Amino acid sequence: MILKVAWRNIWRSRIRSIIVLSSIAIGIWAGLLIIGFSFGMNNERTAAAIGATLGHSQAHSADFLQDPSPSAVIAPEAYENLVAALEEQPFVTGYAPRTMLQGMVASAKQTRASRIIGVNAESERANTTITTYMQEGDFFETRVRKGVVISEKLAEKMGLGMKKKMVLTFQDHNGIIHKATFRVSGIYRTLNAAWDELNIYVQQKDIERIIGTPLIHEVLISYDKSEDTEEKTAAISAAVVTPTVITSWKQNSPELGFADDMMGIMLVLVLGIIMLALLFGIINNMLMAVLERRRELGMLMAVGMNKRKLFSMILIETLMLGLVAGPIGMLLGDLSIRVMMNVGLDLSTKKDGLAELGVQSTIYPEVVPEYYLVMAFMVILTALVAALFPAYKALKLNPVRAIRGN
Amino acid sequence: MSKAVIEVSGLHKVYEGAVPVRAVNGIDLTITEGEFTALKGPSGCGKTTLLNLLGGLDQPTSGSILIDGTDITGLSDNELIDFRLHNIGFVFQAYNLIPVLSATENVSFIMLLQDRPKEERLARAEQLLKAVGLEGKEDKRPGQLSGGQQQRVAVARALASKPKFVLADEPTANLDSESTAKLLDIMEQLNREENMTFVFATHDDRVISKAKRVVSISDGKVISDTSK
Repeated sequence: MILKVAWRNIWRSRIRSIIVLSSIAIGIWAGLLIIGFSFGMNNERTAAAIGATLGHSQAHSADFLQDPSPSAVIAPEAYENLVAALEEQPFVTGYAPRTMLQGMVASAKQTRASRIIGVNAESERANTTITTYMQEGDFFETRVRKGVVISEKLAEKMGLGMKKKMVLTFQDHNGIIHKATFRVSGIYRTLNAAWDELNIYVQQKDIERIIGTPLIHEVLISYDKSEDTEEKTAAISAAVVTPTVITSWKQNSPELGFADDMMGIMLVLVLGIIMLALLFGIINNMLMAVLERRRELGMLMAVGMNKRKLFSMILIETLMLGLVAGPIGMLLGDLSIRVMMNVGLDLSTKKDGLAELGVQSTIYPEVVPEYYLVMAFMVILTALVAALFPAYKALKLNPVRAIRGN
Repeated sequence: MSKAVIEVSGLHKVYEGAVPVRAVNGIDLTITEGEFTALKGPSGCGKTTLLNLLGGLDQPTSGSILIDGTDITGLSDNELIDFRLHNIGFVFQAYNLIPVLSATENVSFIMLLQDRPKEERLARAEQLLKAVGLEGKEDKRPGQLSGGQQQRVAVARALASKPKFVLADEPTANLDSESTAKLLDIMEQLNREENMTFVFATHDDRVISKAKRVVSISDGKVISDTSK
């Protein structure tokens, strides 16, 4: 019957209860949308970076991680050992060796520092999504000697276009400086403007012809799924011999890894702020309910309702607010996310800023079921905390004075 | 000889302030089982204070109050709450029913506090509502009942816990003559047939005329005590 009393008490002041229930539901709805969009944006950004440029993990020589100089190569025998280790792992779907050189690129208009990535075009196409980001030309599919694929942003800054010449200057593993003319054979644009501005692609075989020997500094490794990346990376690490070092995408792109790790904490903080705002709304509502019912609560204490039961009654009433509004807010949030998953949130007016962050201009939220539990827990916790002060006020009532309405 | 239900001796209640008020000033009083007693006196004479002290709602400055042999002045707050629940029935001037509950639920709520089984609660509530003449009104909420009917629900509620006595503070103050007469008839009948002890604080002549014993109070003292 306590439950029945609590339920009916909620509806005593219908408008006030509807307002507080709505505020809780809207708070939850907003919280879920924030979670959905944050996860959608972060996962999309991460997936795009892993797919286009990072891979799930990478192999380097230990020296390269200390100092990415041209001489810090993966030695041929170490590479063979690495390939054998990768082929043994069932979750590895492919790998792509890369030559990584720091150099200068020059056009008629400008000279800039750049990172020159020498790729095995076939492996790179098979293990990355770079081809999907091509704006003009292709990723070394058309047979062309000394072709270079540059980003749209770099092309714009250097005044380059398709088939235009650019001069690449770089140092080899022996410290010898080479200079060679390449012709733009493709223009790409990934979601990450910062990456685009720095990196250009050439074919490994062209570098090899210029230097006279093959150099492998980096091997991009792809997994079947993005889950458990750290564990999978550790499994490969255990199978390769030193000095080859396997690093996960979180280690290779600390800013992405940090964003991924911090997102959970940030979202809990955001939810905490929402709940804090709701907390005061609920306290206000319940305090008014207690003060309005002083006479009745005084009567209950007079006739023998003990403090534990009185406290429980206030607590149950407050919890009921959360238990009614919580599912409504979650349902609305879930429906909104599912609709937005198809439609997306168009932020094309902020396209350039988002590109700097490696994010598309249309953001698609994701349903994150585990956060529904977090939200439910937080709503219950908020209701419990909100009940404390009104319940305390009720317990402090003097029955004689309360019955008189004082 | 009937058993003493309430035994008060040397009872004082002083409200401290700039000028201390002696609301109860040395009362000795014994009320036995089955009495139908009115505490009468003008406003401010101390009768409601005395009733609150008898009901364990307030603590005396000095003196003792024995309820069925237990000195309630020595009980803690929690013990007093529990004592009231099992020993004392209350009827208030303003009825003080729970507006969101039906008549039956209001009556059975106190039995819920006593942790009595649902079947027993419902059966006793039905029986008591019938006894106070509210058959057919069991599902009505207080807002759907007249003042007199609400006070009868309050009487049924007071009896629901099977108390040793019922304390009623100005129970007829908000009622018209017809409702007052009906309420008093019901309480008189419960007193007569079930030997229930009633103690009223009142200045209503209609109540006083029905009382079998009238204790007059003035300035916190008993000035007369007459039985009919």
